[in-house]
Amino acid sequence: MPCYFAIIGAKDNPIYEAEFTNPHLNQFPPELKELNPFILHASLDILEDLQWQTHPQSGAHSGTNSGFLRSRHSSSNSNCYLGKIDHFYGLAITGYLSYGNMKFVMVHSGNANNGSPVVVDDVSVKSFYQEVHELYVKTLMNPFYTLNEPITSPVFDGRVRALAKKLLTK
Amino acid sequence: MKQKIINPSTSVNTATHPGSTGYDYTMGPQQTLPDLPVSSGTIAASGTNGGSSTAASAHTSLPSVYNGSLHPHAHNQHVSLAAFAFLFQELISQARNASKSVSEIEMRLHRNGYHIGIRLLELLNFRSSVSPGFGSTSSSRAFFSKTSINSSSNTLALNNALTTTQDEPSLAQGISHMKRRDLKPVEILQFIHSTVWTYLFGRVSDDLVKSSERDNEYMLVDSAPMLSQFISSTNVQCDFFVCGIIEGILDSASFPCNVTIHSVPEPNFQQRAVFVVRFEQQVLEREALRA
Amino acid sequence: MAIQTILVINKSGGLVYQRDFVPNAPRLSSNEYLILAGTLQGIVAIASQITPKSLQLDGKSSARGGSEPMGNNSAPLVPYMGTLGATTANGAPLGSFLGPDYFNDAFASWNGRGLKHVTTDQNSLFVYHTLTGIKFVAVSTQPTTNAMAVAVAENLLRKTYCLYADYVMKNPFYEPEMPIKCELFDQHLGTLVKQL
Repeated sequence: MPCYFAIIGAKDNPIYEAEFTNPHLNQFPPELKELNPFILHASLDILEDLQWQTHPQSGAHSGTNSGFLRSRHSSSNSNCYLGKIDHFYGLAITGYLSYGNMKFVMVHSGNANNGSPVVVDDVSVKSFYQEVHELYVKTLMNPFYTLNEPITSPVFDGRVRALAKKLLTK
Repeated sequence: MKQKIINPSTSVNTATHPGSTGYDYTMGPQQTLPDLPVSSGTIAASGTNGGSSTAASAHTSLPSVYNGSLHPHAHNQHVSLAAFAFLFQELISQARNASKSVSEIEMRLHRNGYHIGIRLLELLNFRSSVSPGFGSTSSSRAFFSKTSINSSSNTLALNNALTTTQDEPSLAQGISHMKRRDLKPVEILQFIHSTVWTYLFGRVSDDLVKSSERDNEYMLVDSAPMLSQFISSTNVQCDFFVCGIIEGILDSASFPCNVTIHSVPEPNFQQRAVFVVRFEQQVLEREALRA
Repeated sequence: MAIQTILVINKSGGLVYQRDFVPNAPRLSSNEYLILAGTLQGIVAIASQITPKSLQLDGKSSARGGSEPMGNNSAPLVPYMGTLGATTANGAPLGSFLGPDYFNDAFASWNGRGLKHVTTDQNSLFVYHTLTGIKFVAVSTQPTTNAMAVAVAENLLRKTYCLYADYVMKNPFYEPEMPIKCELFDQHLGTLVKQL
């Protein structure tokens, strides 16, 4: 399934974005492709809401209505991976926060464009985020990289895409 | 970033920019995943965006920050104190030559530390997420040495970047669950008090107290600051460097604050230093909202 | 016997540090100390010229090789001589020296061909020479020719050199070759001499 992934900096500026599509099978339809950044940025509000909650994922159990925004992945105590935070006409949006409050967000689209809700595989998405987080930390270790600047390294790009290929697009 | 105009992502056809490598924010996201290995012979895949992916695989063979490991055992964990003292001395001399006043020297040192702080926050938290046993066996430690990674990627560079990424053990594989992000001022100060101090100076700081007078004020006490132990100076506080580190950590964790240092000598500890952390009002307001 | 004065002379013969440790002893004026430093510098230079060739060769071989630590030109270690014992006890490290003492081996003296020891009727004067040409000078309150006293003085001055390396050279506000005004150096040297 095609995905649109972005890292959003502290000032809500995108510092990296990528589309993970498979040239043979599926791509974002052109009209949706334009919308992806908007969909993604719209979910930042929810992300920032969850950012300061002590148990961002336990809302699925306590509230009656608030649960529909979040996935059922609430077993662990961790508050980096936030699970599914938003949805938009059958697209699912997942979020992840790094320790420096960099926002990793991704739009997941279904295989068929029939509007059926996308099932997000929490385990692999989470490990994708963690791997990208490691790459991000490595980027930050570069003394010539300043915080909140776009990440233009081709190696970073290549690695993220390789990870996406391994973990996301099945 | 400031000068370039950001074009809409889809209006630029990526195929017209075959030489581009990596993410270009003026062009927006590129579409394709890296090509399949050349050896498996997919000709069609090299059509749309071949330039980008071959460039990426060529770059993997070069030394890069991404080839190193974040594992604490991948590098020597200790730095000679004498060597660092001389480096720190040069840092201060440089700041001193470039400044006109004492406060400007301190500000420069503060700024130098700040950039270390923002990196330490991510690095140390990420490291402490990794389960303790991971990567400590001798077989997997061999992977972490730079030479083995470089040699393997050199031989495989012709094939493709993907294979090398899979060969390398990434630290994230050893994470069962990430360490919690610190949401409260006390939690993040505890992190500085223990984890950061141990990483920097090999011991926890001597005390962490909350001010009884002001709500937003916390104090970190160090009886013998390591960096300034050789420096006898009364007017310039060289520990502003450490203040910068603390402020960098707190700032990038979204706890905007102001860190200053006061030297409070005691009979046994002549150089005892107190780092005063003053959080901005918004931090308290945020705390009040959650309570 | 006690240490009356410690002097540090830089490589061009200027007096950069002078400190008296006996409060009531008659002392020289600062101008006389400058003259003393200059004279010593000259005598050390002359002494190195008039050292017999055989001694020079001996000194060179032991200083270079360092394989025979108890040779002619090496000083024996006097263990825990003037260590900052109090700080060692509670485990605080000695500056950038991580061991229990600044050094724990006999060491080859770099002063292979210069002046090492002068005795007069009233006091003795010990010189410790560094490779970089800095000279540490100690003046004792009583004359002595005892070999043990010379060894102790050599150890003391070497430790002074260690303190100099830590608290003078690592101080960004100290300008090389200029008079030493470092509070921490004063303080640690005071402790060192007091514990002698």
